[in-house]
Amino acid sequence: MATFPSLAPRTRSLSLGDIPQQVYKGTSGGEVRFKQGSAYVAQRLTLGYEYLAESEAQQILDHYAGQEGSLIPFDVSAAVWGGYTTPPVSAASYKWRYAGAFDVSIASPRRYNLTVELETVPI
Amino acid sequence: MAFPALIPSARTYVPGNVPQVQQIALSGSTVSYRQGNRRVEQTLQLAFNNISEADLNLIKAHYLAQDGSYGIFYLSAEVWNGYTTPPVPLLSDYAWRYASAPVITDGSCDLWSVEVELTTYAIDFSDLIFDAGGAAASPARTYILDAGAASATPARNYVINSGASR
Repeated sequence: MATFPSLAPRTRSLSLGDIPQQVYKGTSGGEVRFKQGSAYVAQRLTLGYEYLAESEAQQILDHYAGQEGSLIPFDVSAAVWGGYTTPPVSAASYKWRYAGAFDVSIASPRRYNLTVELETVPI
Repeated sequence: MAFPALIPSARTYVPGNVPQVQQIALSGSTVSYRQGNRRVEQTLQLAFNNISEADLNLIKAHYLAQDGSYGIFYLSAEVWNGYTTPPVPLLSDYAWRYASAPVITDGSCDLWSVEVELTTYAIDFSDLIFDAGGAAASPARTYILDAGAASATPARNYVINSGASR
């Protein structure tokens, strides 16, 4: 399991996910909910990288290939959580996997932009 | 557990609607059938811009304590900062729940922005007493929020903020 490359993102957005639950809604609008688990699912981390050198973009592409796309979960590096005193998602409880493929676009000659979307996998 | 006492940078309130079914005839005339007497889908969108990690952690901890969108809660007065009378009273027969997961984005230098969307949840008013004040001791209450100066009997199963009660 390879840790995500140690590259600080330019932009970062975290959605905290939710507890899996079944919701039954009456015609009056009243609801009954049943929890179906205790771990949060669908926590999403969107990392934006801008003006990466080719070698840096290649690190992420290689990592994506190494994880067989969205198949194999992994840890994220401390650089991803730069600025936080305590990362908002505990590495002891969750790993990450790619939520899907990502685009690599050209920002300027020999510089690349890409946005990676990751999703938690409860351990 | 009330929502953290943080004043939002931006706030959007949608007053919802009474649940109803409308049937429109070919002539255009409308008949509406009310399906409940409590407004549903009142939503409140809150944006907290450039807050510290400590404040961010207050919101995150609250979200986790509510088990995401599962649990219900009341708002703090700070959320309605600027209103003389909040459009939804702080303690009323409407509680709130998270409509979606909070989204945390990076703000300026080591500060964060958080967007939160809440929706109301109509609670059963019949077994709740809000501020018992000088209410009589009977009948027995199962739940009391803010007992105020109510007498110590009968015993309450749940008392949140017992106030001046003995």
